[in-house]
Amino acid sequence: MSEPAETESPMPERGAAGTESPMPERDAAGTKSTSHPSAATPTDDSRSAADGSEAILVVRDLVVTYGRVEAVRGVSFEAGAGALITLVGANGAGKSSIINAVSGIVRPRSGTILFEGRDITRVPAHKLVGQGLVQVPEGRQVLGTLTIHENLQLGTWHSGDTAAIAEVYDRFPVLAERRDLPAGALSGGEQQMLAIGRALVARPRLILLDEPSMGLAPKIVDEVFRVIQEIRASGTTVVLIEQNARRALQAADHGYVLSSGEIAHQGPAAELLADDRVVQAYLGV
Amino acid sequence: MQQLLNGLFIGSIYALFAIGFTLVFGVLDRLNLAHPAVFAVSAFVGIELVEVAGLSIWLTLPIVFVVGGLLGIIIERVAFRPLKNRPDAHFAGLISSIALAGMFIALLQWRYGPNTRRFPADSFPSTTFTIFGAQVTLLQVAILVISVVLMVALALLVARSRLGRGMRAIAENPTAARVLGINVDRVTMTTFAISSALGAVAGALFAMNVNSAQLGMGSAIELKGLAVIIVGGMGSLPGALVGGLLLGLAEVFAVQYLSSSWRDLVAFGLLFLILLVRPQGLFGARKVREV
Repeated sequence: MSEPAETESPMPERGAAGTESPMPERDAAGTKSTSHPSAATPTDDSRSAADGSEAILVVRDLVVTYGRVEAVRGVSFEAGAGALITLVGANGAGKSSIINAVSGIVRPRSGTILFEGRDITRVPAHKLVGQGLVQVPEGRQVLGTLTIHENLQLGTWHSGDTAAIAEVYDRFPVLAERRDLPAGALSGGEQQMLAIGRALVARPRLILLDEPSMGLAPKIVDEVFRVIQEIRASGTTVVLIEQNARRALQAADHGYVLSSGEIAHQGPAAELLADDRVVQAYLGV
Repeated sequence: MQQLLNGLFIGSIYALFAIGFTLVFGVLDRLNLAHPAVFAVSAFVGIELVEVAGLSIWLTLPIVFVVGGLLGIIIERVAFRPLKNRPDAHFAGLISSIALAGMFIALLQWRYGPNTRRFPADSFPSTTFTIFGAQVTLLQVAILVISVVLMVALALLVARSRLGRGMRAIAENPTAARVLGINVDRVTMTTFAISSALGAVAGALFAMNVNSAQLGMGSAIELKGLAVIIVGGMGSLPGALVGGLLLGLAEVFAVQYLSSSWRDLVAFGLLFLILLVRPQGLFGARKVREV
């Protein structure tokens, strides 16, 4: 490890909620930090993602800091169009910070993020949603005082696409039945479906899911993963963040294992699942 | 009856003023203490428009509405947005908005001097009505109608429109709102504009009602507005409406049955009583921010 900084960072990985994240001041665009030699394991050469298709998302040397704490220390990865990739790792490994940087909620200190070939490193979240990149935040973050229907309408803030809302109701009939109830009245699993539905109404080409199985009963987790597979089957690229690493790797094509803000292992998901080092260190027994 | 109506007229102005206050608080969790200055500025602007431009008092209202909206945008950009990422953004915004209010008032003083200003003598229509034996002027009826229409329009905007959904989303969870693609900065600015536009109309109506505008009129209503939104329930629009009307009625009846020096004592005493019985305020049950 060629790190200058020592951080065993007690991560302020506050996910979405509350805290206005202290944004790192913007430094001149494209500053590639030299103090962070690109990740521990650099990805194989660009444009071709793991499955050989064109990369829809390319992240290079991403560094995210909160004050002096480095949450993400030079991470590179990519997702091929239509692929399902997963970033796994313990709590505090920097997963949510990566997602929030990609979706424009947090400004990275340095590094480059390309979406469909365009540099979106410093594009704010509200513009990215209109461009087809949508996040489903950790902890669901449904708006509990608004109705289910209003939550979905907010998902179409940019498009006003009512047909998309109808499609989500078809996919999740339980939401259609309760459309005029406050979203806070839904169970945890239903709220997760609403959070996913609220992202889908924007018709994203890339969807970032942050811990979608968190706090849900095993049966509901099965359902969430089934929905994720459906989304992927419909052609949408999925980047999945999970603490439930085994489950996520079983679902994904390609996996990245994060540790202390760096990528410790990466490869086709099946190979990671078969790798003893990965299994012992990160997947438990 | 006469007193009841008088209370409603003045109360509707309080309500209109307070609803702008509570809108910013409810959506953005910020107390904008430049709001009373907008109230005062717009009263002077209203008089100026009638006196110098020769407009009818009715025509001044839409203009004052727009001027108020612009002031709201200035307030947001100058007093709040630069501080929004500070950990103490609440207090910082509170204080910077007081400072900005001071600047607005200083500008008024520079332009108009310290004296009370009045509308030209023939500005007001002389039509009066008799309602249940009480005399009311066309102006008073207009004040009530305009205030109520604006407040209903605001309530519909918040409840039904896309912008209103965005406001409620930000009120509940600003980060989730950003994730959904809402331009939080723009909605915030619009909220300030609407809030100040309502406060400005309230100021112009108030000046018409008493036919005078003073530099201190903002500070005079500031406490009343704060009391109204506390009693109504912080951030509650119906609470501001009911609270404003209650305060107007309490004042008028105190003056009528006791004496004018009892006005504030009775009015604020009543508000304290309400808070003793219902500490969360009349409409404070709805905890917007806790889910």
